[in-house]
Amino acid sequence: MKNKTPTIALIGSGLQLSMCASFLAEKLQYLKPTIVAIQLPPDERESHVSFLFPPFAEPAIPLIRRELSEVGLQKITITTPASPSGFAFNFSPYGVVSDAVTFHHAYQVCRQQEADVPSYDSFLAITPPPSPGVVYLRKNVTHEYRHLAVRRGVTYVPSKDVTVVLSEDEKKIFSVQTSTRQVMTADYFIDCSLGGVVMQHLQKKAVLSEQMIPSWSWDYRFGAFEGGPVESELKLERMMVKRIGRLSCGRAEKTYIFGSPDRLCEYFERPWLANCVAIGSGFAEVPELLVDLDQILARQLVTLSWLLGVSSETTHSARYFNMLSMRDFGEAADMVNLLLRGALDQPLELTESNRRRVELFRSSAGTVKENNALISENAWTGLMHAVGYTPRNTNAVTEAIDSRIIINRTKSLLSR
Amino acid sequence: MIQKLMIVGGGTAGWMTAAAFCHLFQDSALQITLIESEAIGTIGVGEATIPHIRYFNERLGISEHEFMRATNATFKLGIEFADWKQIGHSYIHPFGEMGFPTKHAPFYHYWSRAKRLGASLSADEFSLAAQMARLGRFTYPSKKGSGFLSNFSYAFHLDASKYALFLRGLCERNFRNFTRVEGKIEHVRQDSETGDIIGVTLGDGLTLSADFFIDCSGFRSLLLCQTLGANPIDMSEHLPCNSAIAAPTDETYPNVPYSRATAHAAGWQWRIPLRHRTGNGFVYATDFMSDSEAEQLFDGNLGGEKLADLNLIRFQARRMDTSWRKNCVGIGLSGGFLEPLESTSIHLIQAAILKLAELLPGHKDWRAESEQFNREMADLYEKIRDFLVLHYRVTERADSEFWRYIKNMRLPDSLDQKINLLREAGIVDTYQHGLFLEASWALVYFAQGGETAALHHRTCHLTDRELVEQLKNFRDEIANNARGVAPQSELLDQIHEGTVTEQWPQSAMSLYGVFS
Ligand SMILES: Cc1cc2nc3c(=O)[nH]c(=O)nc-3n(C[C@H](O)[C@H](O)[C@H](O)COP(=O)(O)OP(=O)(O)OC[C@H]3O[C@@H](n4cnc5c(N)ncnc54)[C@H](O)[C@@H]3O)c2cc1C
Repeated sequence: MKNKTPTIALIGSGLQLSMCASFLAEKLQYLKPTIVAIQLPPDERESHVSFLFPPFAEPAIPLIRRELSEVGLQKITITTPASPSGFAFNFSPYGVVSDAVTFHHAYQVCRQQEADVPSYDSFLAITPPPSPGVVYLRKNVTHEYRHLAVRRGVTYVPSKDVTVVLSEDEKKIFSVQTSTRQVMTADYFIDCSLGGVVMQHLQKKAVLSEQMIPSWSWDYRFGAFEGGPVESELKLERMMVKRIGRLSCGRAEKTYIFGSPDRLCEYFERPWLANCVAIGSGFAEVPELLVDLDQILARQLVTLSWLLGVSSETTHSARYFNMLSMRDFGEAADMVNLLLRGALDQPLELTESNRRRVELFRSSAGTVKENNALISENAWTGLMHAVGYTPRNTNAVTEAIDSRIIINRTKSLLSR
Repeated sequence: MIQKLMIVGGGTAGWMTAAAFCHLFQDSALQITLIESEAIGTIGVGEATIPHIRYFNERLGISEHEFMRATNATFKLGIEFADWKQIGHSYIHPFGEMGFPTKHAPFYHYWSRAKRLGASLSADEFSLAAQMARLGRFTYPSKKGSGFLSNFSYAFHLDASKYALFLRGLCERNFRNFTRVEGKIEHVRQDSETGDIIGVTLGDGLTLSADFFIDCSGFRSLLLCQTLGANPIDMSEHLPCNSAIAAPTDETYPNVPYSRATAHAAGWQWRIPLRHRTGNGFVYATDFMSDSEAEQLFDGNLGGEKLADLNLIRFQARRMDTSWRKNCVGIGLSGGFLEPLESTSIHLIQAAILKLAELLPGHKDWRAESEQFNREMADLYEKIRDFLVLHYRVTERADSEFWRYIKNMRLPDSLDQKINLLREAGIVDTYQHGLFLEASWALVYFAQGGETAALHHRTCHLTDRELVEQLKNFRDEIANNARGVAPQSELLDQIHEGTVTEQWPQSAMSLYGVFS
C-alpha cells in the first residue's frame, strides 16, 4: 500500500521558507517527497527580531524554542495612553479565585470596592507562564532551520525572482521558472514569499477596511545592546507603534506609522487554491504587534502536514485549511484592531467579533469563547485592560458572594 | 442585581436549574421560586446520561454514592449501537478515547490503516470502557497515567423522577430563600412598555412576580416561545424522527453497564438498565411508520413485563432562535430538543445552566450576555445535531424508505464538510468548545463503516506487519485487563447497600463540558 510520492515547490525567503522546508521534510518523510525550495532574495524583515508566545504550534516551533531557551520571554510591556507606565502582557492564565468566580470577575470586584487595587497585570508577575515566550533574531534561526532542511534532503535553488506559468485553463499553476531559467513543475506550490508572488496569479487579495486597521509604513533599527534583561515592549501613541525587542546581541526597534499609505492589511481569502497554498507572509499581511506571521505560518504548516499527499482529492482538505487559516488571520487582525482602537488618535471601527468581545467585557467583565482559538480568553482580557476598557459590573454569581472573601482571596494570590 | 428568580417547571431541567442556582447563590438575598404543576406532570423520560453529569454533581457538592442510591442508578460506560451499520452488526461508542495517540498521530489513523490492510479489528476493541461494557464489568478510570486504564470515563442510568426529587430535597434543605409552588400557570404578565415578563398568575388566582425567569416548562415553552415569541428552528429535515413511545419493564440487567440503541426500519429503540427496572422506548418517524406499527414492534422487542402504560410523546428536532430573550432564558425542552440517541439533553440542560451562571450580569442590561449565550447554545445544538445525523448517514442500510430518505437527504453544510474531510484526508475537524471529541467522531464514523481514501503516512514509522501485530497485541492487552475487572453488580451492590467508601475520581471536565 503506497501513497504517491509528491513533488513540492516552496517559494519564499528567509526564516519562513526554511521553517517550511525543514518541517515538511520531516513530517512528510514517509511519503519521500521531492522538496525544492526556491529561495528569493532576503526580505528586509529577515534582520528583524520577532517574538512568539504559547500556545506554540507544536511541533513546528520547538527548534526556535530550543535554540533560544536561554532567553525565555515572560511578558511584553504594552504602553498605551490608558497604561502610560506600561502594562505587562502575555498569553498565560492569571490565577483561580474560586470554583464559581473567574479571575477577571474577581478582579472587577476588587476594582469596584477598593481604592488601592494592584493593577491587573501585577497578577501576571506571580503566575509566570509554564512555558514562556521566546524572542529571537530571525536571521540566526533561519540558519538553523535551513541546515536542518538540507540535512533532510531539501534542495535550495536561489533565484532573483520567479516567473509563473498557469495551466491552459488558468485555474492552477503549471510551473514556475527561476531567474536562471530553471523550470519547475510540482504537485503543490507552497508560497510563503512576501505578498504571495505565486498565489497572486490565481486570485486577488482582499483588504481589511482601513476603518479597522489603517494602512501603515514601518521603519526598523537595530542597535547595540544597552544592557539589562531580555525584554519586549510595545509602545502605542498617537499614530505610532514602537515594537522594541532587547536581546543579548542588540536592541531592535520597529516603528509602525499608521495612516501612511504604504501597506494594507491584505490577505488571500482562499489561501489554498487549486495546487497552490499561500502561508505566512505569502498568505497575509498584518501589523505584527503581538502575533507574528511566523506563528500563523507554523499553525498552517501543522495543518498542511496532515493534508498533503494523503489523497488525490483535495477539495475538502483545502476548505478545511482555508477555514483554519482565516480564523487565525481574523484573530490576529482582531488583536491589532483592538489595540489600535484603544490607543491611536484616529477613531477606528471595531471588527464585528471585537464588538462582541468589547460589549461583553464592558458589561460584566465576560469573555467570548471561540473554537480552536489562537489567542486565549485570558490574553483578550489582558488586552482590554491594557487599552483601557473598564467593565461596568461583574456577573451575578460573583456579586452574590461576600466581596471581602473575593478581595482577600484575590489579594492573597499576590502574596503567594 | 436581580432580586427574584422564577423557574417555571419542575422536570429535570427545572430542578437541575433550581439546585444549581440555590448552590451558587446560597449566601445571597436572591429569592428563588420554582413553580410546577402536578396536573401537567413531566415528560417522564430521560434516564441515560453522559459523563458531564458527574461534573455538575461535583460542583453542587453532591456525593456520588448518595446520588446513585437516591436515583437507583447504574453505571454507564457507553452506548451499544445495534443494527446501525447493517442489520446484525453492533459496536459500542464508549466514553473516552479509542486507543491512545502516539507522538506521530492519533490512534484512529493506525486503526484505519490496519483495516485497509485487511486486519479484522473492530474500533471499539481499543477502549477498555467498551470491552468492560461487553463483559458486564465496571471499574473506575485509573487516576494515574495516561494509558487505556485512565483515558475513559463513565456516566449513569438513573430514574429521572427520583433525580428531580433528590435535587428538590437539596434546594429545600439548604437554601432558605427557596420556595416551591404547586399550581398551573394560566396567565403570564408582561410589562406593557418593555415586553419583559413581570409575573405569572396561577389557576387558583395566586399571582407571583420576579425580575428574571427561567423557562423549564418543557415542550410547551410557555414563557420563551408562547409569551416572548422565540422562533423554533426546525431541524427535522435532518432528524426526521418525531415520535416516541416509552414504557418501563420489570426485568433488570445487573451486569449491563451500557445503554442500547437498536436501529429499526424507521428509527431506533432504546434500552436503559436501571437498578430496579429497565427503561424502554421506541423512537420513530411518522412519515415512515404508523403509531400502531411502532407499538407492535416495540411490544415485540421488550424483555419483560410493562410496569406502566405506554407514554406516547410527539416531538420535533429543533432549537429556539434565541434561548435567552428579554429577561427569560429557556432551559431544557423549552429551549430545544434533539432526539436522545446520544443522551445529550440533560447535558444541554447542564451546559445552559453553567453558561447562564457565568454570563448573567450583576445588572439588568443583558444584551451582550444574551447575544453570547445564544451564540454558544446555537453552536452546541448544531454540533450535537451533526453528530447525531452522522449515525444515520454513515451506514450501509437502505432497506426501508426511511433509510433511503436519509441516504439521499442534503446534509447540513457543516456535517457535509466533516464527513468529506474524513473521506478525503482521514482527519476529524476538531473543536475546543462543544460536545464530542475527535475520538468519538472517528469511532462512530469508522465503526459504522465510513471509508477514507487517505492512507496516513505518519503511521508509516511502522511497517504493515509491525502495525497489525502491535494492534493485535494492544487489543489483547486491553481485553485481558477487562477480564480482570469485577462484574458491575459487585460494586453496585456495595454502593446501594452503603458498604463501600467513595473513591471515584474527580471528573476531568472543564466548565464548558470539554475533557481537560
Ligand atoms: C423520548 C425522549 C427520550 C429522552 N431520553 C433522554 C435520555 O436518555 N437522556 C437525556 O439526557 N435526555 C433524554 N430526553 C430529554 C429529557 O427527557 C429532558 O431533557 C428532561 O426530562 C428535561 O425535561 P424538562 O424539564 O425540560 O421538561 P418536562 O419534564 O416536560 O417538565 C416541564 C415542567 O413544566 C411544568 N409546566 C409546564 N407548563 C406549566 C404550567 N402552565 N404551569 C405550571 N407548570 C407547568 C410541568 O409541570 C413540568 O414540571 C428524552 C426526551 C424524550 C422526548
